Amino acid sequence: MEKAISARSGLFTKLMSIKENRWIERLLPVAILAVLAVIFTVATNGRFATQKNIKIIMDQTLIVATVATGASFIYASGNVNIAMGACTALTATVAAKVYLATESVITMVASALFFGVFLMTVCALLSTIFNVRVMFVTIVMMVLLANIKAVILKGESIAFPYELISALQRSNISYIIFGAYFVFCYIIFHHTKVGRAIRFVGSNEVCSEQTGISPKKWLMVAFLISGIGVGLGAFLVIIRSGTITSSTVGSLNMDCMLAIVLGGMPIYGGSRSRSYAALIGAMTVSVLNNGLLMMGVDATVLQGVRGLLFLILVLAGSERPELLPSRE
Amino acid sequence: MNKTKLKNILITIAIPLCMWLLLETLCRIIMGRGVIVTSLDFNNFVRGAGISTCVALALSFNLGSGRFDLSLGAQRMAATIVGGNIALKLGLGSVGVMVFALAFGLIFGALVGLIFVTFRVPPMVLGVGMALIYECVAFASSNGNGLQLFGKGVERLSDMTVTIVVVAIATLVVAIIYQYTTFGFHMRAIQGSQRIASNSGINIFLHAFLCYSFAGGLVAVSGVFDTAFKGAMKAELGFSSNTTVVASCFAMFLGKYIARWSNDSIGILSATVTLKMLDTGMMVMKLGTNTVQLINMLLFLIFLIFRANENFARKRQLKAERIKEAQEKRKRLATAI
Amino acid sequence: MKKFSKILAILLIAVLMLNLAACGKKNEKTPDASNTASPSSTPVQNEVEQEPTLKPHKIAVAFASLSSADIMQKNYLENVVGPAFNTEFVFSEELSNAEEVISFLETAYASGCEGVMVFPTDGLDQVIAKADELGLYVVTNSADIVQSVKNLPHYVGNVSSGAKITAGIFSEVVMKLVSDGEKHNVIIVSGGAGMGSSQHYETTVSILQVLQSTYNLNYSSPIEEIARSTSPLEVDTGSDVKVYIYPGFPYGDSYVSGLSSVLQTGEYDTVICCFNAFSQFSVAIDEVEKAFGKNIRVVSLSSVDDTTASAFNTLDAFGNPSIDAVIVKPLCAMSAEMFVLLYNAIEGGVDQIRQTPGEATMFIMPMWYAYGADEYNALSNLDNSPETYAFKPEELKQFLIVYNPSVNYETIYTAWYTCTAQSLMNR
Repeated sequence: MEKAISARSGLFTKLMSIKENRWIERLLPVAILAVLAVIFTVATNGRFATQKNIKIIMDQTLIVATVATGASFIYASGNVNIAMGACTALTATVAAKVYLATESVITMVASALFFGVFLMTVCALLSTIFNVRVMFVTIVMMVLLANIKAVILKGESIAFPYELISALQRSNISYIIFGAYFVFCYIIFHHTKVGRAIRFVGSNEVCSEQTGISPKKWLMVAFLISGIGVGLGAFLVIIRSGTITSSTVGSLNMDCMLAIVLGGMPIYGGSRSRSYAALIGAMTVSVLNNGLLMMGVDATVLQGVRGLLFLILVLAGSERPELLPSRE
Repeated sequence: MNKTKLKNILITIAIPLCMWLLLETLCRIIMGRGVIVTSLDFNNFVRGAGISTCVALALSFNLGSGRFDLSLGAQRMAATIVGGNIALKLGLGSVGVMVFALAFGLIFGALVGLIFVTFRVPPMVLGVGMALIYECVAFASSNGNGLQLFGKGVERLSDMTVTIVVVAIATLVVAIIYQYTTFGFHMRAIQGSQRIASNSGINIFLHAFLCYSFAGGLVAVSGVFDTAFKGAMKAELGFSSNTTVVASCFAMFLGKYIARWSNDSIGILSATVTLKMLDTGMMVMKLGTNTVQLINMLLFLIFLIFRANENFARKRQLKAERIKEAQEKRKRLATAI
Repeated sequence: MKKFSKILAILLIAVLMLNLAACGKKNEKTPDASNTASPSSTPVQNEVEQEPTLKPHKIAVAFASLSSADIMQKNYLENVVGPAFNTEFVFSEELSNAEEVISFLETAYASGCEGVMVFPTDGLDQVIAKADELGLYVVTNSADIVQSVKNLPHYVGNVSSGAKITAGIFSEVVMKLVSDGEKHNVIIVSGGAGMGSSQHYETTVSILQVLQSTYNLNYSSPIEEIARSTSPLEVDTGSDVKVYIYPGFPYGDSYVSGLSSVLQTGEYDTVICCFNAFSQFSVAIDEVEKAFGKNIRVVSLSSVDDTTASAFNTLDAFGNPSIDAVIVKPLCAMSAEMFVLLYNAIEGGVDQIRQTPGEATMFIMPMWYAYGADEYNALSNLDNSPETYAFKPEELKQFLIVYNPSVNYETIYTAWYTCTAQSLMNR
């Protein structure tokens, strides 16, 4: 009996050490994505893996991937931001109003970028200068920005000219924007001092401060970079749906966080953070939504099945800490 | 009763009283009427404050330890709908509805707690997943109908006296838990440092499990009162269940601040009464729902800034003193040499 | 102990999964309605061919909400219409914005759907354009044809109750309520009238007009401006009759309290809801009735569901039902028309069923109304009972080109336009 127990615990330890191998750790989210794709392909008799469906999944992934890629800088610094969706929605609203006033796409994009960066700067200032914890700032911002949007819209919707949106969609500019932003973030995150500093802050704030890396300064930088993502995400939202209403990107707050977690990013950041985790996670979210619907899961339980699968995937992909998860 | 205690009691009462005075003045000037005019107004006010108090007390169990449980709203919905429907089917009346909802709230909260301590998933991530599941459970179990309490012979649940009694019991129980049990001591120890608390023998896992369970039970109570007041609770999907819970965060934080003059649960009660008074006043002034929420959130933000910096002046002074002392020491050393 | 906790947690998750699967299956009913000849079916006007071999089709349904009434509609399509016409339906979750609808369309297309019923009304030009791009025939529930895309080949048209027609029904119902020779003070719960909802706006305008004509009111502002109010407003009527506009939706806790505080003045005895919200106020209204010893009459837009049935069957302190009259959207009957349009389009007859070939067409399915529990119960059977559905498969056959090649726009339009609850009950 004791031999069996020790053999089992030995096997468990071995499995955990395999899982915590750095290459396995990096490839596990990709493997999970691939396994899901295979399961859905088999379950839908191949319909899932057609070229058209893969293109559809990519289209559905872009907005979440863009915003989450920017948010990964914040997460890497050891903070959690659950207001990305609210920021994106308000930015899209403001950009839409600017377009209505100027009828210029370039001005609209510029205003989206400016306002996205401005919003995230405000969040960052509240944390860095006023010392409010980032999590609490984002909880407030989640509701505050949604209400500001509702007050601006006054229950109406802003619709863009159909021809303009069609032209933008045909130009595949969404892919270009995402691609450029992704490459930009990847280089900054993994190959520059900025990314290293942010990850160091996420690993250990006290050490970083004593090493001369100011957590406040780099948190501000993280928010600024994510602000660009918010601005670009807002533009992609406009291209995708052509209309801004009070419920636009209502689920992006949670989709963003789920994308980052499912992509293998440690929720409390640190040295193991990766910028491409957002892309993998966003694709996983889209694959799940797409695949479950194609499989014919009943609409009334679809959400529950999705929640369950999320949890299972998170459990499979994340490291089990010795104590309860906390910022300590 | 000594002077300090008296002072603390007066301050705890003064805060909601000052809010009432402010709004009463504004409402009379702007609208020509007071905040609370009729007995039904008072009825609504008490019920609303009672609902918010239960949610804020529930939040205090986990949020105080840095765990923001995003599934609390879904637990509220699921426990109220599942428990309430079962009680109605069994013909158990008001008490049955409350007891069953409370029981299911405890169970659903315990389940989240169990998954949390077993698998140690970050609480926000776990909260999202469990919220999706619980909303689905609430929807599927009632076939999309939710819970109907109007006309089901449970009018007592919307009675103000019942609300006051139940909320008073809840506040008392939470106060006892926080102040007079080892659970409360453990909570304060864990809030200081989880690792040190664990090393000193506190079972942090059991503690977290209990926190989630208690929170689930309390939000279920608030859900029953909310349903009784409105007549029905809809089963909604799409992660829409957490709006009430997020709105009660302000009450919780304000309550923790007022607690310095009383204790956590009395502080939270005082805070919810204060904020409910503010909401009622704004409604009397005919501000739209979005504007009311906007103002609430702005005040919440200002409060958070205040809390984060309330010792700013003192810290600056201490820092200046330390620098001065270091400079004098350096001078003395230089002179000595 | 640790192992036990883990095993217990896994067991609990497994129980939860089984519960969800069981709940999902619970909604499936299998009434074999397709073979039952309805005793009240309309005599077939055109010759119906011998049973043709039906090709399998797949149609997607995009829901704006997932209430019990929508579940009923889902059951009707899935269990009654689908098996009768060899059609599989793919249902969405609750879709709250255009982006979600577009994602659903794309997934539905990938899963082999040929047509889609769209109930959310945001960003319809993009939604219809996407459906057209994907080759999906689309019918929407919007009150207006989307002009910018009306010539797209796959945009069949809209099936709607029509904002003005609904407003007219409200006028009729309210007129009956206020024409009893007494003066009534009215609260109009206007919903999104000031926020872009044309139906709520038209309804609010029509109610104000009825009150104006009945009581000779002299509004200080134009009716259109009053109807568009985005904050609570006590209307200056130039008389002792009070009218209160209460806009907004019950998203926050203060919504019900706000209306309750108005009711608690004791001055109002009639509440008219332009959207399905009366269940939120039932307790507040009941309390005011008890406190002031007066009956408050309620008229509301509603749906065929347990809430409405319960409201009619629950008596207030005066022995009156909690609701006096309802105007309901007959979802099953409406989706039957949408199915007919899509099926014909998929079968190649899209221009045959349009009013103008090449252009999307508006089809009207008027709302039904009922005064009192008896009328409501009879009406509700038409939309939720397999034995008495307004449109059973046998009745639908005459509108499908595979059975009746001569079916056209007029046939379909007239059949549903004249489909009032009263006419169906008489039939």
